[in-house]
Amino acid sequence: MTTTTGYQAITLREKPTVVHRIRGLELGVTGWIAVVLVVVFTIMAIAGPALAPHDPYTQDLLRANNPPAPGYPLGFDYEGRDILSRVLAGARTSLLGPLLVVILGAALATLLAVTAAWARGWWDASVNVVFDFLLAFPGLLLAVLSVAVFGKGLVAPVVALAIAYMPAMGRIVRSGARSETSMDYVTALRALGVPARLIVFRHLVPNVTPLIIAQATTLFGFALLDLSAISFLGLGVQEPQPDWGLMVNTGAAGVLLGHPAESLSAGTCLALAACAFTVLGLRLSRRIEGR
Amino acid sequence: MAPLLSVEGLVVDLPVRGPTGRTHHRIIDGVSFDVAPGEAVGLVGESGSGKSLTLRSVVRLLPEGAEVRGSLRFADADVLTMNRKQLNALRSSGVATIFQDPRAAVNPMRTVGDFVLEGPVRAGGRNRDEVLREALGLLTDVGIDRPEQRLRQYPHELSGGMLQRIVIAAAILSRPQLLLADEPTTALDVTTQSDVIAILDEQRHERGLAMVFVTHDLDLAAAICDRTCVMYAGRIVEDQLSSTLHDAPQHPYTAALVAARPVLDIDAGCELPVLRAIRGRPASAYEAPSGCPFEPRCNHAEPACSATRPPEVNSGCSRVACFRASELRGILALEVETHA
Repeated sequence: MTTTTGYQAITLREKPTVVHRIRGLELGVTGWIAVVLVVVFTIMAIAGPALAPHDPYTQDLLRANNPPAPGYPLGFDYEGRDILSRVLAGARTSLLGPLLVVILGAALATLLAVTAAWARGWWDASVNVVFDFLLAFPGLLLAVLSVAVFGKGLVAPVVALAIAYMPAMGRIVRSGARSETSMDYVTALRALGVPARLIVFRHLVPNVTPLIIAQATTLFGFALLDLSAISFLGLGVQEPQPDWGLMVNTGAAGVLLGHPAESLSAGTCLALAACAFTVLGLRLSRRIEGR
Repeated sequence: MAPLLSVEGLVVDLPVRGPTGRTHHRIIDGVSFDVAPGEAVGLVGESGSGKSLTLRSVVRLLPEGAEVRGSLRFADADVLTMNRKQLNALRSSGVATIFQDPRAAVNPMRTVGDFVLEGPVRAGGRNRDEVLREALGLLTDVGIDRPEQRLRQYPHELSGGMLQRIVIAAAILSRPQLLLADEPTTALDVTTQSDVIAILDEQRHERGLAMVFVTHDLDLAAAICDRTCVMYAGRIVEDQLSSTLHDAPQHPYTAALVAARPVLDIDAGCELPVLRAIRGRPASAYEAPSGCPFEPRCNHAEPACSATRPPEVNSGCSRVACFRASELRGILALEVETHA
């Protein structure tokens, strides 16, 4: 019986160290700058509201559009709220939207694309038709339409964008999964009697995950810009909630009065985040293709 | 004894997309053979003779759109009419398959342990720890040292020979009655080939497993199989005991294959022996002539050979499909003998 207990402690995975994994990515200087920015923005999204030096909602109309003052390095917006606090607090709403878009879009795309690649035949053909049909719609147009139908707010545009972005991801995942299904190990798993459902979700999906992650990172950048555009138009996030897209719009008054800090800081954050995610996504895809 | 596996009149057509739309090419044209419990049967032949496809038909691992006819029975169950669940049960416990290239047959992104446990645990529904314990014992049996560590490694960290031993262990772990081996040593280094074959042979005998062994290598088939079936153009042209196949081939094709083997003769000095190739190109079933498929390449062909298909004639424990089998017996034996 001693041998019995001896074997039970075995774990079947020896994780490569973090250092090894990071070195293996070979992202280049631009890629690493993108990584740093992505990390910074992620921290902002998680801890932003806590980092804000002042309450982002407290109005003081006497200080509306005032220039920077001690303790208020970016000055005040048109309602006298601290701009720095609003930029930091806005990170969460601004980045949460695209995250939901990407997660929802990736989940839908993976489900459709991998099952299509596995089943082939009529299901594959139908999924392709759906992807082609959706590709014909610009994401922003679909999002604006959904606001018109379902009302203002974040939910409708997020769902609309997720659906609009699905085919871009789905096509890549499908071709990746398709080449994976023709590999001998899949035949070997079938020969072992492993049911198709398990082969698809335990082998195909994990093996195309790097593709999904790279593609999702790129699309995150696009989704960020699209959702900000919707908020800028006043259709997405509503006042008084802080959001970068919205702040670019509300700061417009300050630009005319010579206080461009609100539009500029929110706009800079948007531009940097969008660039960082897009660059990182492209680097990752290039890395995967070169594999 | 009732055969474990009984294949009768197996015909497989594969879809081909041609200029005139989808057509079918016949790859296997009426293959029949039985495998008794514990018996090893070799399938030999040139590339494209349909031996691998015959093997895969046994567990219905065929390309999409393949059309299968004939009868295929494993332990008295009709394989061709099984539903998906019955088929998975057959694959996970009745029949185990060993593929040519172990590197391709194991998911490169998963650990070796995941691969070994996948079949019995995921498909067979057995207790994980129990299977793990059995696997560790089996890995030691097939000559893997430090099996616990190996199970934690990824396929690329192991050599081809070691990986193939693990594949063999995984096949045995599912407690099958029949092993299907599709050229299990072709992708391996020559020196590891013999090790892997020895282990396969030993494990098979120890557990009394039946086996169908596909190979190009006549000597290998003769060494580890009780019976050898020689395939040409999607049919079995000769089925004989391995022990007599080399000395007394009955089909001109078998004789030509035996004679075509390179023989290393140290006594002959540094003069290399002339390889006696078979003239012409191997034909697939769909492009074979209407008479004897081997007739265009046969040294003993007569006008009658191209008229009709030679039937398979049983005599004792052998079977041959040649019109001139009885008259050629002596000549073929001589042909092989002068070679050796």
